[in-house]
Amino acid sequence: MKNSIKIIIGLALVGVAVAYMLLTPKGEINITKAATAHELNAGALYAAFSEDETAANAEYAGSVIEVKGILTAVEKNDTDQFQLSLDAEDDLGAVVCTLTQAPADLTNLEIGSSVTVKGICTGYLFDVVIDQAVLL
Amino acid sequence: MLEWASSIQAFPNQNYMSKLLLLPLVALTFACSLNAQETLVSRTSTTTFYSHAPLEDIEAVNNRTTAALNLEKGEIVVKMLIKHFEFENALMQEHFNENYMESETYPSALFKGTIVTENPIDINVDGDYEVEVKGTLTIHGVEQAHTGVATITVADRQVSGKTVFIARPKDFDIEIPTVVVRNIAEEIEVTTTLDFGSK
Repeated sequence: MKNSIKIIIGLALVGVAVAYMLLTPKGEINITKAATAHELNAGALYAAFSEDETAANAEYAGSVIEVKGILTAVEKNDTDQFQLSLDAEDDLGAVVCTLTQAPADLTNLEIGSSVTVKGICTGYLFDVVIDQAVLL
Repeated sequence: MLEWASSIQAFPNQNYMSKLLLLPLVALTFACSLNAQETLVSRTSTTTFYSHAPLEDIEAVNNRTTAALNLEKGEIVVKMLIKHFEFENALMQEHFNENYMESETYPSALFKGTIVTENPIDINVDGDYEVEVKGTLTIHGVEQAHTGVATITVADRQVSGKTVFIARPKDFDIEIPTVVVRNIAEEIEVTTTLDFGSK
Protein backbone atom coordinates (compact mmCIF):
# COMPACT_ATOMS: atom_id res chain seq x y z
CA MET A 1 0.00 0.00 0.00
CA LYS A 2 1.36 3.39 -0.88
CA ASN A 3 2.28 5.70 1.98
CA SER A 4 -0.14 8.36 0.76
CA ILE A 5 -3.04 5.94 0.97
CA LYS A 6 -1.99 4.92 4.47
CA ILE A 7 -1.91 8.58 5.49
CA ILE A 8 -5.35 9.21 4.02
CA ILE A 9 -6.79 6.17 5.79
CA GLY A 10 -5.10 7.25 9.02
CA LEU A 11 -6.51 10.77 8.78
CA ALA A 12 -9.95 9.39 7.98
CA LEU A 13 -9.84 7.18 11.08
CA VAL A 14 -8.76 10.13 13.22
CA GLY A 15 -11.57 12.18 11.68
CA VAL A 16 -14.11 9.48 12.48
CA ALA A 17 -12.80 9.23 16.06
CA VAL A 18 -12.97 13.00 16.56
CA ALA A 19 -16.48 13.15 15.06
CA TYR A 20 -17.57 10.30 17.34
CA MET A 21 -16.21 12.12 20.38
CA LEU A 22 -17.91 15.37 19.41
CA LEU A 23 -21.25 13.80 18.54
CA THR A 24 -21.56 11.36 21.43
CA PRO A 25 -22.82 12.72 24.74
CA LYS A 26 -20.52 11.97 27.63
CA GLY A 27 -23.48 10.87 29.73
CA GLU A 28 -23.59 10.69 33.49
CA ILE A 29 -20.37 9.91 35.29
CA ASN A 30 -20.02 6.86 37.50
CA ILE A 31 -20.50 8.53 40.86
CA THR A 32 -19.41 5.51 42.87
CA LYS A 33 -16.01 5.48 41.17
CA ALA A 34 -15.63 9.25 40.83
CA ALA A 35 -13.12 11.01 43.04
CA THR A 36 -14.72 12.96 45.87
CA ALA A 37 -13.84 16.64 45.85
CA HIS A 38 -15.43 17.59 49.18
CA GLU A 39 -16.64 15.78 52.30
CA LEU A 40 -18.81 17.71 54.74
CA ASN A 41 -21.99 17.51 56.75
CA ALA A 42 -25.36 18.70 55.49
CA GLY A 43 -25.55 21.62 57.90
CA ALA A 44 -22.23 23.03 56.80
CA LEU A 45 -23.10 22.65 53.12
CA TYR A 46 -26.46 24.37 53.53
CA ALA A 47 -24.91 27.16 55.61
CA ALA A 48 -22.32 27.77 52.90
CA PHE A 49 -25.03 28.33 50.28
CA SER A 50 -27.33 30.21 52.59
CA GLU A 51 -24.63 32.67 53.61
CA ASP A 52 -22.96 33.27 50.25
CA GLU A 53 -24.47 31.50 47.28
CA THR A 54 -21.96 32.86 44.79
CA ALA A 55 -18.98 31.66 46.80
CA ALA A 56 -20.63 28.30 47.49
CA ASN A 57 -21.37 27.83 43.80
CA ALA A 58 -17.74 28.48 43.00
CA GLU A 59 -16.69 25.95 45.63
CA TYR A 60 -19.23 23.17 45.21
CA ALA A 61 -21.37 23.47 42.06
CA GLY A 62 -20.55 20.71 39.62
CA SER A 63 -18.34 18.93 42.16
CA VAL A 64 -18.65 15.38 43.41
CA ILE A 65 -19.27 15.65 47.13
CA GLU A 66 -20.02 13.36 50.05
CA VAL A 67 -22.58 14.74 52.46
CA LYS A 68 -23.33 13.27 55.86
CA GLY A 69 -26.54 14.14 57.63
CA ILE A 70 -29.65 13.06 59.46
CA LEU A 71 -32.29 11.65 57.14
CA THR A 72 -35.53 13.61 57.47
CA ALA A 73 -37.56 12.37 54.49
CA VAL A 74 -37.59 9.79 51.71
CA GLU A 75 -39.83 10.68 48.78
CA LYS A 76 -40.31 9.88 45.12
CA ASN A 77 -40.27 12.75 42.67
CA ASP A 78 -42.39 13.11 39.53
CA THR A 79 -39.99 10.92 37.57
CA ASP A 80 -40.07 8.15 40.18
CA GLN A 81 -36.59 8.88 41.45
CA PHE A 82 -35.99 8.65 45.17
CA GLN A 83 -35.14 11.87 46.94
CA LEU A 84 -33.49 11.82 50.34
CA SER A 85 -33.75 14.96 52.46
CA LEU A 86 -30.95 15.57 54.94
CA ASP A 87 -31.36 17.88 57.91
CA ALA A 88 -29.61 21.16 57.11
CA GLU A 89 -29.98 22.45 60.68
CA ASP A 90 -32.09 25.28 59.27
CA ASP A 91 -35.87 25.61 59.38
CA LEU A 92 -36.07 26.93 55.84
CA GLY A 93 -34.40 24.25 53.79
CA ALA A 94 -32.66 20.92 53.52
CA VAL A 95 -30.07 19.14 51.46
CA VAL A 96 -32.09 17.17 48.91
CA CYS A 97 -30.32 14.28 47.20
CA THR A 98 -31.87 12.68 44.11
CA LEU A 99 -30.74 9.09 43.71
CA THR A 100 -29.84 7.87 40.24
CA GLN A 101 -31.06 4.40 41.09
CA ALA A 102 -33.40 3.15 43.76
CA PRO A 103 -31.53 1.60 46.66
CA ALA A 104 -31.69 -2.18 46.67
CA ASP A 105 -33.01 -2.15 50.19
CA LEU A 106 -34.93 0.79 51.56
CA THR A 107 -35.74 -0.92 54.82
CA ASN A 108 -32.42 0.18 56.29
CA LEU A 109 -33.33 3.81 55.69
CA GLU A 110 -34.82 5.03 58.91
CA ILE A 111 -35.92 8.60 59.37
CA GLY A 112 -33.64 10.11 61.96
CA SER A 113 -30.70 7.90 61.11
CA SER A 114 -27.37 9.23 59.94
CA VAL A 115 -26.61 8.63 56.26
CA THR A 116 -23.86 9.57 53.85
CA VAL A 117 -24.70 10.42 50.25
CA LYS A 118 -22.30 10.93 47.36
CA GLY A 119 -23.38 12.92 44.32
CA ILE A 120 -22.95 16.04 42.24
CA CYS A 121 -23.86 19.35 43.83
CA THR A 122 -26.09 21.05 41.26
CA GLY A 123 -26.80 24.27 43.15
CA TYR A 124 -29.17 25.98 45.54
CA LEU A 125 -32.89 26.58 45.30
CA PHE A 126 -34.84 26.56 48.56
CA ASP A 127 -32.73 23.50 49.28
CA VAL A 128 -29.18 22.57 48.34
CA VAL A 129 -29.58 20.12 45.47
CA ILE A 130 -27.46 16.99 45.05
CA ASP A 131 -28.13 15.04 41.84
CA GLN A 132 -26.93 11.68 40.46
CA ALA A 133 -26.58 10.62 44.06
CA VAL A 134 -25.76 7.25 45.55
CA LEU A 135 -26.15 6.13 49.13
CA LEU A 136 -22.86 5.09 50.72
CA MET B 1 -42.14 38.76 34.93
CA LEU B 2 -40.76 41.57 37.00
CA GLU B 3 -38.59 45.31 37.95
CA TRP B 4 -37.22 45.13 41.29
CA ALA B 5 -34.39 47.41 40.45
CA SER B 6 -35.54 50.22 42.69
CA SER B 7 -36.00 48.01 45.73
CA ILE B 8 -33.20 45.58 45.20
CA GLN B 9 -30.96 47.48 47.59
CA ALA B 10 -33.45 46.75 50.30
CA PHE B 11 -32.84 43.09 49.64
CA PRO B 12 -29.12 42.97 49.08
CA ASN B 13 -28.95 39.32 48.20
CA GLN B 14 -31.31 36.77 46.81
CA ASN B 15 -30.83 34.38 49.73
CA TYR B 16 -32.15 36.97 52.12
CA MET B 17 -35.09 37.54 49.83
CA SER B 18 -35.82 33.86 49.55
CA LYS B 19 -35.69 33.45 53.30
CA LEU B 20 -37.82 36.53 53.83
CA LEU B 21 -40.48 35.10 51.61
CA LEU B 22 -40.17 31.68 53.16
CA LEU B 23 -40.48 32.71 56.79
CA PRO B 24 -44.27 32.64 56.73
CA LEU B 25 -44.09 29.21 55.09
CA VAL B 26 -43.16 27.64 58.39
CA ALA B 27 -46.47 28.84 59.76
CA LEU B 28 -48.22 27.90 56.54
CA THR B 29 -47.19 24.30 56.99
CA PHE B 30 -49.52 24.08 59.96
CA ALA B 31 -52.23 26.36 58.70
CA CYS B 32 -55.61 25.02 57.80
CA SER B 33 -56.82 27.80 55.58
CA LEU B 34 -55.21 29.98 52.98
CA ASN B 35 -55.19 33.73 53.14
CA ALA B 36 -53.55 36.43 51.11
CA GLN B 37 -50.89 37.14 53.74
CA GLU B 38 -49.30 33.76 53.37
CA THR B 39 -46.35 33.10 51.16
CA LEU B 40 -47.11 30.40 48.67
CA VAL B 41 -44.27 28.10 47.76
CA SER B 42 -43.83 25.69 44.88
CA ARG B 43 -40.97 23.29 44.26
CA THR B 44 -42.54 21.55 41.27
CA SER B 45 -43.40 24.34 38.85
CA THR B 46 -42.43 24.18 35.20
CA THR B 47 -40.36 26.30 32.86
CA THR B 48 -40.01 25.49 29.18
CA PHE B 49 -38.14 27.24 26.44
CA TYR B 50 -38.61 27.01 22.73
CA SER B 51 -36.18 28.01 20.03
CA HIS B 52 -37.40 28.17 16.44
CA ALA B 53 -34.52 28.48 13.96
CA PRO B 54 -34.13 27.79 10.24
CA LEU B 55 -32.42 24.42 10.72
CA GLU B 56 -34.18 23.05 13.78
CA ASP B 57 -36.56 23.66 16.65
CA ILE B 58 -35.28 23.10 20.16
CA GLU B 59 -37.35 22.65 23.26
CA ALA B 60 -36.40 21.93 26.85
CA VAL B 61 -38.34 21.49 30.08
CA ASN B 62 -37.47 22.16 33.71
CA ASN B 63 -40.00 20.51 36.04
CA ARG B 64 -38.20 21.46 39.23
CA THR B 65 -38.70 25.20 39.02
CA THR B 66 -39.24 26.75 42.44
CA ALA B 67 -41.25 29.84 43.30
CA ALA B 68 -42.41 31.89 46.26
CA LEU B 69 -45.36 34.25 45.94
CA ASN B 70 -46.82 36.64 48.47
CA LEU B 71 -50.07 38.02 47.12
CA GLU B 72 -50.54 40.65 49.80
CA LYS B 73 -47.10 42.16 49.30
CA GLY B 74 -47.14 41.45 45.60
CA GLU B 75 -43.71 39.87 45.77
CA ILE B 76 -42.56 36.95 43.71
CA VAL B 77 -39.36 34.97 43.33
CA VAL B 78 -38.86 32.26 40.71
CA LYS B 79 -35.69 30.24 40.62
CA MET B 80 -34.48 27.19 38.76
CA LEU B 81 -31.31 25.23 38.18
CA ILE B 82 -30.03 25.24 34.61
CA LYS B 83 -29.01 21.59 34.80
CA HIS B 84 -32.63 20.65 35.45
CA PHE B 85 -33.61 21.55 31.88
CA GLU B 86 -34.19 18.30 30.03
CA PHE B 87 -33.85 17.95 26.26
CA GLU B 88 -34.89 15.09 24.01
CA ASN B 89 -31.35 15.08 22.63
CA ALA B 90 -28.74 14.32 25.31
CA LEU B 91 -25.93 15.82 23.26
CA MET B 92 -27.89 19.04 22.86
CA GLN B 93 -28.46 19.12 26.63
CA GLU B 94 -24.75 18.69 27.21
CA HIS B 95 -23.85 21.51 24.80
CA PHE B 96 -26.50 23.72 26.39
CA ASN B 97 -24.96 23.28 29.83
CA GLU B 98 -21.28 23.28 28.92
CA ASN B 99 -20.98 25.59 25.92
CA TYR B 100 -23.77 28.13 26.22
CA MET B 101 -25.12 28.40 29.77
CA GLU B 102 -21.91 27.38 31.56
CA SER B 103 -24.14 25.89 34.21
CA GLU B 104 -21.37 24.93 36.60
CA THR B 105 -20.31 28.58 36.78
CA TYR B 106 -23.84 29.98 36.67
CA PRO B 107 -25.99 27.16 38.10
CA SER B 108 -29.30 28.98 38.42
CA ALA B 109 -31.64 31.42 36.75
CA LEU B 110 -33.58 33.79 38.96
CA PHE B 111 -36.42 36.21 38.64
CA LYS B 112 -37.45 38.38 41.56
CA GLY B 113 -39.86 41.22 41.47
CA THR B 114 -43.30 42.52 42.10
CA ILE B 115 -46.78 42.06 40.75
CA VAL B 116 -48.49 45.23 39.60
CA THR B 117 -52.24 45.16 39.22
CA GLU B 118 -55.11 47.61 39.59
CA ASN B 119 -57.39 44.80 40.72
CA PRO B 120 -55.96 43.10 43.82
CA ILE B 121 -55.97 39.34 43.66
CA ASP B 122 -58.64 37.97 45.98
CA ILE B 123 -57.95 34.44 47.12
CA ASN B 124 -61.68 34.05 47.78
CA VAL B 125 -62.78 35.01 44.28
CA ASP B 126 -62.13 32.51 41.52
CA GLY B 127 -60.90 33.89 38.25
CA ASP B 128 -58.03 34.81 36.01
CA TYR B 129 -56.18 37.96 37.06
CA GLU B 130 -54.11 39.62 34.36
CA VAL B 131 -51.15 41.30 36.02
CA GLU B 132 -47.96 43.08 35.11
CA VAL B 133 -44.77 41.75 36.59
CA LYS B 134 -41.69 43.88 37.04
CA GLY B 135 -38.32 42.91 38.37
CA THR B 136 -34.88 41.56 37.66
CA LEU B 137 -34.13 38.51 35.60
CA THR B 138 -30.73 36.92 36.15
CA ILE B 139 -29.48 34.40 33.63
CA HIS B 140 -25.88 33.35 33.00
CA GLY B 141 -24.82 35.70 35.79
CA VAL B 142 -26.23 38.74 33.96
CA GLU B 143 -29.00 40.82 35.53
CA GLN B 144 -31.56 42.46 33.27
CA ALA B 145 -34.60 44.52 34.19
CA HIS B 146 -37.67 42.67 33.02
CA THR B 147 -41.28 43.66 32.60
CA GLY B 148 -43.93 41.31 31.34
CA VAL B 149 -47.47 40.14 31.74
CA ALA B 150 -48.73 37.15 33.62
CA THR B 151 -51.97 35.48 34.48
CA ILE B 152 -52.65 34.53 38.09
CA THR B 153 -55.47 32.04 38.39
CA VAL B 154 -57.46 31.41 41.54
CA ALA B 155 -59.64 28.33 41.65
CA ASP B 156 -61.04 26.89 44.86
CA ARG B 157 -58.45 28.88 46.79
CA GLN B 158 -55.68 27.22 44.82
CA VAL B 159 -53.32 29.62 43.08
CA SER B 160 -51.45 29.09 39.84
CA GLY B 161 -49.76 31.41 37.40
CA LYS B 162 -48.37 31.58 33.91
CA THR B 163 -46.16 33.94 31.99
CA VAL B 164 -44.66 33.82 28.52
CA PHE B 165 -41.81 36.09 27.50
CA ILE B 166 -38.96 36.40 25.06
CA ALA B 167 -35.34 36.09 26.16
CA ARG B 168 -32.46 36.97 23.86
CA PRO B 169 -29.22 35.03 24.50
CA LYS B 170 -27.07 38.03 23.58
CA ASP B 171 -28.75 40.12 26.31
CA PHE B 172 -27.31 37.68 28.84
CA ASP B 173 -23.85 37.40 27.29
CA ILE B 174 -24.60 33.94 25.94
CA GLU B 175 -22.48 33.52 22.86
CA ILE B 176 -23.84 31.44 20.01
CA PRO B 177 -21.00 30.22 17.76
CA THR B 178 -21.35 31.15 14.10
CA VAL B 179 -21.36 27.49 13.09
CA VAL B 180 -24.69 26.90 14.88
CA VAL B 181 -26.24 30.31 14.35
CA ARG B 182 -28.87 28.79 12.05
CA ASN B 183 -29.69 26.16 14.69
CA ILE B 184 -30.45 28.48 17.60
CA ALA B 185 -32.95 31.33 17.51
CA GLU B 186 -32.00 34.88 18.46
CA GLU B 187 -35.22 35.08 20.44
CA ILE B 188 -36.13 32.24 22.80
CA GLU B 189 -39.71 31.86 23.97
CA VAL B 190 -39.81 31.10 27.69
CA THR B 191 -42.95 29.85 29.43
CA THR B 192 -43.17 29.52 33.19
CA THR B 193 -46.14 27.84 34.78
CA LEU B 194 -46.37 28.09 38.54
CA ASP B 195 -48.42 25.63 40.52
CA PHE B 196 -48.90 26.43 44.18
CA GLY B 197 -51.53 23.75 44.59
CA SER B 198 -49.17 20.94 45.42
CA LYS B 199 -46.29 20.60 47.86
